[in-house]
Parts: sequence; C-alpha cells; structure tokens
Amino acid sequence: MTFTDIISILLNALVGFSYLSLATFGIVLIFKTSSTTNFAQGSLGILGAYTTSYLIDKQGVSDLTGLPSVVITSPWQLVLPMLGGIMVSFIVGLLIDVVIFRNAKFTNAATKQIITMGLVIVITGLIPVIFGAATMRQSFVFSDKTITFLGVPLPVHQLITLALSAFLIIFIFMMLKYTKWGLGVRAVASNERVAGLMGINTNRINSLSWAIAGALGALAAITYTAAIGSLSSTSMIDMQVNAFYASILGGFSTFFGPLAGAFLLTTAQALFPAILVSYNMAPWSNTFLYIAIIIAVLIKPAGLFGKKVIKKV
Amino acid sequence: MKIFYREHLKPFLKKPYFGFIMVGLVLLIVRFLVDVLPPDLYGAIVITSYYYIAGLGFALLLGYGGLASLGTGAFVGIGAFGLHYVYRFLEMPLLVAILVGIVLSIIISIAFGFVSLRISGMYLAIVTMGLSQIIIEIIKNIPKYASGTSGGFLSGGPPRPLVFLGMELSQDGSVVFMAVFVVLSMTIVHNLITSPTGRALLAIKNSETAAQTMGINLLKYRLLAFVISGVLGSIAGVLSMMYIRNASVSQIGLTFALNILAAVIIGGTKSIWGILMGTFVIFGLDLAVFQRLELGNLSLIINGILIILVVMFYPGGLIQLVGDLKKQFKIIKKKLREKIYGPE
Repeated sequence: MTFTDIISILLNALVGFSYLSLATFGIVLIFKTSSTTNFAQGSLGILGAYTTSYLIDKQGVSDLTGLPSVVITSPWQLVLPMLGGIMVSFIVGLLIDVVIFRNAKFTNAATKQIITMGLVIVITGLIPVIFGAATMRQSFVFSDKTITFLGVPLPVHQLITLALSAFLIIFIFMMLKYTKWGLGVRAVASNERVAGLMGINTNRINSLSWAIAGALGALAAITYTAAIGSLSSTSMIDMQVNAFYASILGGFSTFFGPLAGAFLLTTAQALFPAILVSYNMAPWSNTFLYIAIIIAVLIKPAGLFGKKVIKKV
Repeated sequence: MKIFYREHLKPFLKKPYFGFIMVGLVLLIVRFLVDVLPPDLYGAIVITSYYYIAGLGFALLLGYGGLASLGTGAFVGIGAFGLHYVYRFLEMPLLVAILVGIVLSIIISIAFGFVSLRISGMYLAIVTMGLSQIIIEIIKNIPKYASGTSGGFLSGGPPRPLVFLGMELSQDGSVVFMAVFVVLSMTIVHNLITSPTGRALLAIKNSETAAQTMGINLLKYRLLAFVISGVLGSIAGVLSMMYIRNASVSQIGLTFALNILAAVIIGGTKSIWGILMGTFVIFGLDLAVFQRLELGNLSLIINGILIILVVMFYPGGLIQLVGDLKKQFKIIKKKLREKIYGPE
C-alpha cells in the first residue's frame, strides 16, 4: 500500500463522514430525547431534498423540451432552495413531535419504532403526491470542479460538504455545551421526568430536537444525493442504516461516541475493500465490516465510548 | 336442540384447536376457489397466511420474550434461498431441501440467542439488524445468485419443477402446504405459551434478575424462543418461495423486519388471533382493499396513517379493539333486554 493509497482512504473516509455525521447526529438526538430509534430520519431528509430539487427546477423551464433545465449562475440559486428544503424538514420534524410523539410519550420503545415506520410509509406515499409522479428527480451539486490533493482527485462538492458539516457539528456541540437549550437536552436525555420536575419545558426541548434532527437529515440528504447523482425516496436508507451501526458502535450514551463510531465506520468502509481487493474478495467487504462491528459491540455492549448504565432494582 | 348446543357443541367449538383447524380449512377452501375469487384478494390471503407463520414466531420473541429483534428477514431469506439452492442446484428431494433450511435457521438463531444474552433493548434491535444484514450479504455473494435475486424455478439454467411425492406442485398446490403449516405452527405456539415455557418467558421479560433468582434458566429459554421463531421464519420463507417461485434480497431486508414487527404490534403481541389480523393489515390490506379502490399513492398514505393511529390509540393491538367491540355489544344487548322486558 502506497502513501497515496493511505491518503486516498483517509480522504474518502472523511468525505463519507461528512454525510454520515449529520445523519448520525439526528438519530442520536432523537434517541436521547424520545428514546426510540428513528427509522424516519432518512425519509425526513429525503422530503427536504425533494423540496430543494423541486425549488431549483422551478427556476427555469427549457423552451425546447418543456422539461426543467436550470443553469446555475449565482450561488443564491442553490443556497435559497437548500434553505427551503431544510426549513421544510425542520417544520415537518416539529410537527411530527407535536402531533404524534407528544401524545405517545409513555408507550414502549417498540411501539415508537412502529410509529416511525408508519411515518416512513406516509412520507414515501406523500412524495409522489406533492412532487409529481416522477420517482427520480435531478439533484444538484455545488460545483462540478475537481481538485487534486496530494495526488488524490477530490470533487469540490464534497469538500464544501465536509466544511459545512464540520462547521455544523462543531456549532451544535457548542450549543449543547453552552446554551440553555443544550443543558435542557442533556437533562431530558438523562431523565425526562425529573427534567420536567426541575422546570424544563420538556415538550419544547423534544420538538426542537425533532426539528433539528429533521434539518440535519435534510442537509445530509441534499448533499449526499447530489454526490451520488440520484434522488429517490429510498436513497437515504443505506445512510440511515449505517448511522444506526455507527451509533451502537460508539455507544448512544454520549453525544461524542456515535460521531467517533461514524468516523470509524467510514474509515473501515474505505479501508476494507482496499485490503480485500488484493485477495480477490472485494464483494465480501461489507460482510466483514458488519461482522467487525458486531464483534466490537459484543465485546463492549455499551459501545466503544459508552458508559455502562447500572440499573437499580 | 339448545341444550345439545350448550352441552356438547359449545365446549367443542370453544376449544382453541377448533379455531386453528378452521383456519386451515378456510385456506383449503380458498385454494379451490382460486378461479372464483378476485386474484388480488386471493394473493392477499395467501401472502397473509405465510407471513403469519413468521409473525407467530416473532410474537414469541416480542410478546413473550420482550426481545425486539429485527432479524426476521434473515430467516425468511434462509428458508427461501435455501430451498432454491438445495432443491434446484444440489437436486435434493423437496423435504430434504426444507429440512436443510430449518437446520440452517436453527444454527443461526442460536447465534442470535447468544447475542441477545449480552445486549438488550434498542441495541439488540440494531445488532440483530446487523446480523441479518450479514446473512443477506452472504446470500448475495454466493455466485449462483448473482446480486441476490434468484431467478426462481423457471428461468436461467435447467429449470426443475417442484415435485412432492411424485406429484408436481403448482403455485396453487403449495397453498395446501400453507394450510398444514399454519395449523401446525398455531398449535405449537398456542401450546408453548400456555405451558410453563410461556410463563418462564414472560417472567424473563419482566425481570431477568428476578426470573433467574426463581430458578429459570435464562440461556435455555432465550435460545428456545429464538430457535422457534427462526424455524417458523424459515418455514415462511420456504412457503413464500413455493408460492411466488421467486425471491430477492431486497424483500427480506430491514423493511421486511419492520413490517413483521408492525404486524405483531398492530395485532396484539400476545394474541394468536390478533397477529393474524395484524399480518393482514400490513401485508394484505393494501393489496386486497386499497388497490381495488384505485387510490394510487393515497393507499400508501392511508396505510401508514392507519398503522400510526392503531399503535397510538390501541397499544394492546387490534385484538383489544375486538374485545372492546364485544363489550359494547354485550352492553347494547343488555339495554335492549331491559327495554323490552323492563328492568330486572
């Protein structure tokens, strides 16, 4: 393995991390506050991505074919629709909590899982109703250019995404650490009832968490679907499943753990095929990856960076 | 006549086994009505009947074991792809192929069981999801299933018709198998949950520590629950392969596991009849009812909203709804009687 290979693996891992970290953070936020695994995280993001794509398409229609064809001239043409998409996911996330989860607070975890699954079905059904029958939509990258860094070609789009998600994640961590909202989230995460007794408006904390998770999911979906070049209602499923694995690998008990897990996961995703390809076993890399995760979780059931919770009887 | 009914017929009709056999009989009748029934309804009934078996197995895990596993898809996959591989490419008899699938699923479910001893709660759901993903990846990478879709028994390579005891089985012929297996698995699950095993599982669900203090062997019952649910899942897979004659790994992933979970929760985790209703709501309702109304994409939305509403307002499942209706019916009956004959 040469130096360039190692650099390429690391950069690929970082690029994968930029999407996965956003998705993972949304899932962790909801797990902490609503104590359920949110299977609708991906769909929530996809809703935002569809909105963005729709808003960009609206900007221009080709006279010749009647199909939308947009020439991006100023960055605002991309940024405003993106903000629109993020807003839609933000509001839908808020509504989901206010309408559904606030009323299902004291049901058990499996029931909440089913509710999120029902949400997936509803959103999957809603998308064609709102955005028209076409199952695939165009997605838009920030820039088509590619720069070469230490001999490794890198699309500018992914670099911008990386910077954006790094900024956002640091920003949210600061919020969690230093603002009243962050203190509230941490209190609700440790015990919702006691947090309520201490005068924290748990309803507001929960709905804001859902909204922020939706916005993060939307940003992840917008940038990721642009990078892979296709947008359909199922394109975030893999990302979401990986986010779950990352979360249990790092451990749900801290906010930092799942992100570390996400980085380990993307590194392994880049590393395993590179190693296995010389043994002619590249298709099996996912199998080995999942086995490695499960062995890690079996050795440390609370996650690599998790704290063990001792239950009082 | 009335006395005869009350003393002889009623105890017989009230026996649970009578109901189970009736389900089998209904399936058999449906099989012979294949030309009369609308094809959508027929398909919905058949799909419900084989996924019901997987649902029953899963109910043992969730309702009695308290283990929210998301690995059901793996076992269905083992059943379906195992049957296909062993029957078609190794050219074994049908029963041997089914047995191989069952043995494989027992081995893998034991692995699931050991994992569940160390991990619990939401973590278990994700870890079992990962385990089933491993199985799916393995199925994908076995060369003969290029990219994880079996061509079924019909296309690609030398086709081999399904033959059982010298008779060629048609698609509809496999419905007879379904009837047999549905009755069998209903009986097995009913007997298990009304026996000390069921009570031991419930005790473990409520508190592992307390159950162990009372002398319940955690390992034994956990493994038992996983093995039975695994075997029932693989039987569901075998039956789906026999009916559809085709399988794809995209149908046994996370979405399928969630669907089974939803079916069990919507129906009522502890009720055999409830799960039947839940399975129909999830797997059959769309096909049998909504699509015939030609709602298009609205059918998906309605189905999703229905799931959310049932789960939110009937945490005991649809079977609770039936119980409530029965209660209401009795109250109305009593009121009517009072109106006609005056208060007692």
